[in-house]
Amino acid sequence: MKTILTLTLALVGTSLAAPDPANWPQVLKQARGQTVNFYMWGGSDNINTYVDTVVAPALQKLGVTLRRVPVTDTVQAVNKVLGEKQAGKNQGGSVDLIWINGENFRTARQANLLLEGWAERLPNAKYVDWQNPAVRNDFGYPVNGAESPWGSTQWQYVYDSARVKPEDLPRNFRQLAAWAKAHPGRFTFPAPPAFYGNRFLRMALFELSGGREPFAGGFDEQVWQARSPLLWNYLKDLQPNLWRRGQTFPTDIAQQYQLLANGEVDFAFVQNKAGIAAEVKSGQLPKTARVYLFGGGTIADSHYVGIPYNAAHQAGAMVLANLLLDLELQLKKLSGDVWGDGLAVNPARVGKAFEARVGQALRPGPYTLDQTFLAKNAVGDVAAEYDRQVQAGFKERFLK
Amino acid sequence: MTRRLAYLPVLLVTVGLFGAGLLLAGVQSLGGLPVTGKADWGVAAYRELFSSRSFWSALGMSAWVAGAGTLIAAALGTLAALALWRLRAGAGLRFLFAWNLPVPHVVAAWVTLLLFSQSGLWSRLAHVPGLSRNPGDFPALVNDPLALGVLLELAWKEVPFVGLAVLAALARFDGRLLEVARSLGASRWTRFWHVVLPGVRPALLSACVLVFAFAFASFEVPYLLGPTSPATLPVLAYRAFTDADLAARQEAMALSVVTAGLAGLVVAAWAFLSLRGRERG
Repeated sequence: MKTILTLTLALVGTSLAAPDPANWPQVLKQARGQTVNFYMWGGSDNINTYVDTVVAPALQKLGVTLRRVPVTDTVQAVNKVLGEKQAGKNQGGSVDLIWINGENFRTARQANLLLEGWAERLPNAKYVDWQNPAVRNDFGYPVNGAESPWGSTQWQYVYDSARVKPEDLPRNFRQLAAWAKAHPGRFTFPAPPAFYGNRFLRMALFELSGGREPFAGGFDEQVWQARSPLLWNYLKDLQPNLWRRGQTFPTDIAQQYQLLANGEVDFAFVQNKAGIAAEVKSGQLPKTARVYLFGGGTIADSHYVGIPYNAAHQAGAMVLANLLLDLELQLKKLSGDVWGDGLAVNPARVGKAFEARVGQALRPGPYTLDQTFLAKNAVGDVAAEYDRQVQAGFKERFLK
Repeated sequence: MTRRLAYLPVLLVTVGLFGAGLLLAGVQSLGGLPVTGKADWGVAAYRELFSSRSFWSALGMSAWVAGAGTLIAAALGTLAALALWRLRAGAGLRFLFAWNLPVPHVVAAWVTLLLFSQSGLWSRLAHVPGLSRNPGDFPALVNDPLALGVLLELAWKEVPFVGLAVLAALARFDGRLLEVARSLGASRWTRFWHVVLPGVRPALLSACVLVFAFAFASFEVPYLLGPTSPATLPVLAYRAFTDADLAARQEAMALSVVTAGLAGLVVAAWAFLSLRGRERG
C-alpha cells in the first residue's frame, strides 16, 4: 500500500515538474508527438509564412507539431492564460508558447503566468549574448530566464519615393510637423494601444525632451510630469494636419501599409532589420517604397517567446523555443526573402563563417539599410511604465 | 404546458451560457475574481466609468448607431415589403431581396470597407473619369465621425430582415380592408397610415427591437467601420479587456454589464408594452 502511494506521488511529482532543459534528450523524448499551440500576433502575412513554411516543417522533423494560433494583440494570449488561472486550471492549459515582449511580459510576470528559469538552459541559448542589456532586459524589466529571445528589431521610417523627394524628408519630429503642415492629410500613425503607435509616440517624447537619457533607469513620476506635456502639445498641433484631420487612426501597421500602398498617406514604419525587403517582395508595399532613419536615432530591442506556467505541452514548447534559435532558421528569418527580422543569436559567439553569412543575408539596398549604420543609430527602450502612461494619456486626450 | 416545455432546451442554453457569462462579468466588475491579489469588492469600476467622458461619448455613439440604423432599416424595410407585396412578388424576387441574410456581419463590414473606403472600389471608379484626383477627394464614408460606414452596413444587412418580417405580416393582412377604406374615400396616405401600418405594426416593432438591441451591442461592425473615437460601448469594452494593464479588466467587465443591461432594458420594455397591448386587445 505504502509503495503504491509513494509510486503515485512520484508519478504526480514528475508530471507536475516542468521539463528540465539541462536533460535535453529527455525533453526531446517527452515532446515527441505533442502539438504545440503557439500564440502569436497574426497581423503580418510575411511572419505567418515564415512560421508555416520554415519553422513548422523543421519542428515536424523532431516529431512535434506546430499549431499557430493567430491573435490581433498579444494580450489576448495573456488573457487566455489569466482566465485559466482564475478558473483554477493550473495544468493542461491551452497556450503552450506566446510570442511576447514589453508590457505584456510585465503583465504576465505580475500575474505569475510564466514558467521561469528555463530559457538560458536551452541548448541553443549558448549563442545568445545574455549579458547584452538589450537581451537581458525587456522594456527595462529583467527577463530572468522566463523568456527566450526570438529576434531583434530596429525602428525605421518608410516613405514612397514616387511622392516624396529624399531631400524633402523630415528627419526629426519638428521637421515632421512642418512637413505635415505643408502636406495636410498625408501622414498618420496607428493609434495606441497598437504597438507601432506606442513606439512612435515614445520616440517623439524622447526627442522633444532633448533625448532619451532622462527616461533611462526606471519610471520616474517627476520626469513624466515634467516632460509629457511636450508630447501632448506637439500632438495637438500635429493633429489637424494628420490623415482625416486626426479624427481617426489606422488600427494597426497592416492598415497603415494599405494606406501607403493606396496612396492615401506618404509614410509608414517598419521594425525589421532587413527593412521592407519582404513587404515589397510580397507586394504589400510598392516598389517605390524606401526606408530611412531620423537623425536622433531609433529604438532597437529584442522580442521573445514565453511558456505559460500551466502549458499542457511544456516540453514541446521548449523544443520549439530552442528551434527558433537554430542558426539556420535564424538566418532564414534574417533575410528579406520572407521576414527580415533581426537575429536573436550573437554571430560573434558562433564563428567567422556564420558572421560572413549574416553579412550576405543583409546586403544594404533600396529596401534595407546598412547594418552598421543602423547599429550606430540604435537606442534602447525604456521602462514599460512610460509606455502605459503614453497610452493612457493619448486615449484621454485624442480618443474622445 | 407541453408547448412551453419545448422552449426549455433553448432557455437552458441561453441562461446557462449567456447568463453565466454575464454573472461572471458582473462578479469581476465588482472586484471579485481579481487577476492579481485578493478580492476587493466595490463599485469603484462603475463609479469611474460614469465619471469618464469616454463612457458618455461611447454611449452616445452606440445610441446613435443603433437608433439611426433602426430607423433606416424600419423605413426602407417597410417600403420594400410594401413594394414586394403590391407586386405580388414570387419566391425568386423575395430571394433576391433577402439573399444577404445569411452573410455574417463581419464579412459585410469587410465588403463595405472594400467598396466605400477612400481607396476602395467606388473611389477608384470615381478616379477613372477624373471625378477625384486622389483618394482624399472621395468622401470619407468609413471610419468617419458620423459612423456612416456602420450605418451603410447595418442598412444593407437589416433592411431585408425588417422587410421579411413585415412581408410575413402583410401575408396575413386582409386586403378587403383596403377596398373598404378606398370606397369610403380614404387617401393613399390615410390608407397606409391607418389601415396597413396598424396591421403590420407588431411585426415591425419586434423586428426593430431586435435590430436596435443587436446594433447597440454589436462589436465587429463599429470596430472595423467606425471612427477610432468616439468608439461604441462594445469597442470600448474590448479595448479595456485587451489593455495590458490588468487593472483595466474591471472596467471592461463593468462596460459589458452596462451594455448588456441597456440592451436588455430595451427588449424588456418592448416585451412589457406588447404584453400589455395584447391584454388590452
